[in-house]
Amino acid sequence: MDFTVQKKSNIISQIEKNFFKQNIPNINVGDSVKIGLIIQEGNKERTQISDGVIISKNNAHLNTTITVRKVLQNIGVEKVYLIHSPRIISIEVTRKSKVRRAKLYYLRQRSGKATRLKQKFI
Amino acid sequence: MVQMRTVLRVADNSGAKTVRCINILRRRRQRPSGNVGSELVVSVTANDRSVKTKKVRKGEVHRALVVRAKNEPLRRDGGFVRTGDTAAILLNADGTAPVATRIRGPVSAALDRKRYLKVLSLARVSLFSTAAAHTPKPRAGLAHAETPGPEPARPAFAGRHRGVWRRYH
Repeated sequence: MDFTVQKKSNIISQIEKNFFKQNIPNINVGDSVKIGLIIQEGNKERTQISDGVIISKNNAHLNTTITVRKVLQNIGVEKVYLIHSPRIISIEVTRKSKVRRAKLYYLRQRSGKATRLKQKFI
Repeated sequence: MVQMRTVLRVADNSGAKTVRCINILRRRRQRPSGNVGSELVVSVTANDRSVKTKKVRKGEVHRALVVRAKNEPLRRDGGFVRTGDTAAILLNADGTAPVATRIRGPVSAALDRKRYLKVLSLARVSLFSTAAAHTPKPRAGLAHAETPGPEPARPAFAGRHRGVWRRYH
């Protein structure tokens, strides 16, 4: 890696490009996704799949995060994932929705049928 | 962030509905407020009418463990888990065992496994099972551009972790 005098952003890009994942599917806000995570139980590695609706996506190159919301036992749970993390081994989009917002925070105040999103057929 | 006078919901069937934090145990300067996994001293502020035989009543002082929080601290893999409410379960006077027999709602997996194994096993759902400093083996699916090199060796801390924000995994 060449660390002669350069722009800070170029140096960061050089380091980050080693960790980028190339084949992440096209995910948008409003999609229902299933995310496969690697977790360790004792000495074994296991894949745990959690699903939910993407309510926000924050684009920041390597640190791009998505917030996935799901209601578990009447409690709304939001998980923020860094999609280029090595802990995430699969992202599968199960349903695309037509939303007219970049962030779906309004879903936090809604429950049940009011949280339904219009499906987008491609 | 749980501090004195914070009202928390009770996530078990002990008979209390809400509790108010009076004190946070094992509080340090680096971590002045409580969050998931903190043990608190609480007073019961409301009874849960749906529980017939109550183990605790309004006005009593008990210990509690925070199991869900609206703002959980950053996890080691860089992510967050947020829940819709801040909830606690009541513990006995030693803080070793829960008072109730059932736990309602999900429980954070960031709880200390050794201390609170009983709590984690009573909960039907736990959020984000842990894999602390575990670097997964490189996989075929979503491959990286190149395999990342080994993690750089971190210098060992000789003294106390001053100002280091404790992270949960």
